[in-house]
Amino acid sequence: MSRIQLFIFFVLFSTSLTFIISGEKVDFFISKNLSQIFLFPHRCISSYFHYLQVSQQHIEELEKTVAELQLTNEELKSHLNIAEDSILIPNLKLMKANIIGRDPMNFNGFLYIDKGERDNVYINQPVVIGHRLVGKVKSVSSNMSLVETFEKPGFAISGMDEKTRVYGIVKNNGNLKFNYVKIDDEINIGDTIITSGLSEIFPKGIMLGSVKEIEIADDHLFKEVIIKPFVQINQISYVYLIFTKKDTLPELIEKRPGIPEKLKELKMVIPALRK
Amino acid sequence: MKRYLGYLLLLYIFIPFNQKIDIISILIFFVILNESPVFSVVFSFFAGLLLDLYYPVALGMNAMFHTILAQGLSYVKKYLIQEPLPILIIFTIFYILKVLLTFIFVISEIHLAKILLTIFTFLPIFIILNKIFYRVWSRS
Repeated sequence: MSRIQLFIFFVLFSTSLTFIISGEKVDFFISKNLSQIFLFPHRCISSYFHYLQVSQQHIEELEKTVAELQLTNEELKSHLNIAEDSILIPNLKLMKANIIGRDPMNFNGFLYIDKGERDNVYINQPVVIGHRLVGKVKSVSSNMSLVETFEKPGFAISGMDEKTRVYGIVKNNGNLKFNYVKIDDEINIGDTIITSGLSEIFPKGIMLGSVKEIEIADDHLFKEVIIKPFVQINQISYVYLIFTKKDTLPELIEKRPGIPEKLKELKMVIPALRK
Repeated sequence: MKRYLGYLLLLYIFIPFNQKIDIISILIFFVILNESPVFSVVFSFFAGLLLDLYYPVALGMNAMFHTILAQGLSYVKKYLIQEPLPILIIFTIFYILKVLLTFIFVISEIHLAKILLTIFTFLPIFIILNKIFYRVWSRS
């Protein structure tokens, strides 16, 4: 055993002995300073892990907030669509109605809404969400109504291709089909089908769906056009009712060509006759 | 030099896990068997001091025990054969002495599970340390 080794051993032994026999205050002072020096790498690593842990928690909280904000954003966007629609379809009054029930026999075919006669809802009133068609009012009671949706088999409506202006009848025969499109008519996959405005019920321009498939019918006279609807009936919780009956009878009469002049003449004639 | 840095690095890595298995004692034992007596004593003192700082009970106690045990083992090292069984027996004696010294002077509890776990895991850890530092599983 070398002298150096013995010397080092005695130095280290005396140092540790000094640590042991020193008082509490000295101990605390030495521990504090030595920890700062010797446990520095360890403190750095543990603080880094602590930072990672805290960051992870923070990220989770932020993800939760983002998810909530996304939901709110979607909701607000859908409301914004409605506002835009009322500009796109001018002079139309809209009223929001919540879906309060569905027909158990035809789950997506009929919806019950919380607006009725009290809210001036009437039969055949168009029902939309955004600027997309849902259906029409089938029956009305005092405070609720039944809506027939386009998913009810047999539902039919006059429609047209927004781009090529080809007219036809949209009918639900299990699939939503755009019927009576002649073989020569131009219609393409992805085209939007909207209401034509030819029907007295639905105003022009309400979106029905997009063209999904085009086939030649067996008779080789017409095309069989299958439409993918824009609205998923089983995913909506509210709808909007469109008020198209805004004109009163005298106003309608006055608007018809030739009638206002005749009315004026009559108004002048009637007092004379009374006399 | 590389090996010395490796020992220090392992020391810092092992400290947080030392409460379950006395892995620092295994590392010290490995260093005493394979390095020069001077480095072994200094390293043992430093490891003991780190333990005193990390798990504060009585400052300097672990440092002193480790220094004494390192010095003592350095004396008998040349008579040892580096075979698994003799090494395990020597480590067990070394470790039990350390536990007894700690028990007598610090009056701490004896954790039997920790002692048994340390002795059981000694050989695998020792072999891995051999592989890390000397690229061989066993140095006989």
